[in-house]
Amino acid sequence: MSTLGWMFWGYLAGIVLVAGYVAWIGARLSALERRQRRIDSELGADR
Amino acid sequence: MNESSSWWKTGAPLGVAFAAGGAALVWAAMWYAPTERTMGDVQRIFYMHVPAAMNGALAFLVAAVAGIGYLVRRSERWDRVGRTAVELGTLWATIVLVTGPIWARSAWGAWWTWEPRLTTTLIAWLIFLGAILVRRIAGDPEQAARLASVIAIIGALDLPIVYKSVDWWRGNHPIVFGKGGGGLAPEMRTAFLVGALAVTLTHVVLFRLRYRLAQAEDRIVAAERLADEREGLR
Repeated sequence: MSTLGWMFWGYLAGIVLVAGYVAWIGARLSALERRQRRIDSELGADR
Repeated sequence: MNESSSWWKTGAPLGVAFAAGGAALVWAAMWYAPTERTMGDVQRIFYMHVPAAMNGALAFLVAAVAGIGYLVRRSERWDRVGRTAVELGTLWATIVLVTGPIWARSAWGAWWTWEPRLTTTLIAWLIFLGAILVRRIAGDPEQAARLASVIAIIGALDLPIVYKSVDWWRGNHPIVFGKGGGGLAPEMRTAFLVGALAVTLTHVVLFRLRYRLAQAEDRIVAAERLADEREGLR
């Protein structure tokens, strides 16, 4: 592979790592918000 | 506001900013910056490698300060800052450790050598990875926060060693800035500033996002504790 090709893969790897991290945060945040609503409704039903 | 519109409001500007920053970085590094005379095209990795290293060091430093803050005050806010900074520092350090060998393969003919700066950077990465893992292994959240804080402080002690390693042990890692550095041509300096700005802005946005996640994690722990207490009272 040419040097410029390796550069391309280097930049892509960095961008994919950051994008993957953002996706992980988004997915976990959604899951936690759903869990929070479930707990809130359970606690509300107990009152 | 429903969930999807809330996500759209947060996600759309973030996605646009992320795409614009990434495009600016790639454009500056691959097209705008001139080809370096001695190293050739492989030098272009510099425009992401160095900003990632700078942001990684900054995040590790914040993690250590937050660690001290947590050990002194035992406040959840310091713990959340520490949790966020350790993860972000590890992310940037991972990018440094991925892009560095790509350069090394072409410049030194080997993906990896046990050169002082490479070795000390790997040690820093392993220490902060340990701070992430300890939170997953330790059962008690307060114990996990205490241990992770101590590890982050120890990890930060490695940062000056990473910085000075090239001078102290005469490594062959290139020096661009500071004493003995070759400096940058004006167009290379502009490309570097674009890269540094893109990476730093991404860091700020990621910090805010990850901090929000840490708040959600803490709210869940508190709500589950309350639910358990009520269960016990029944």
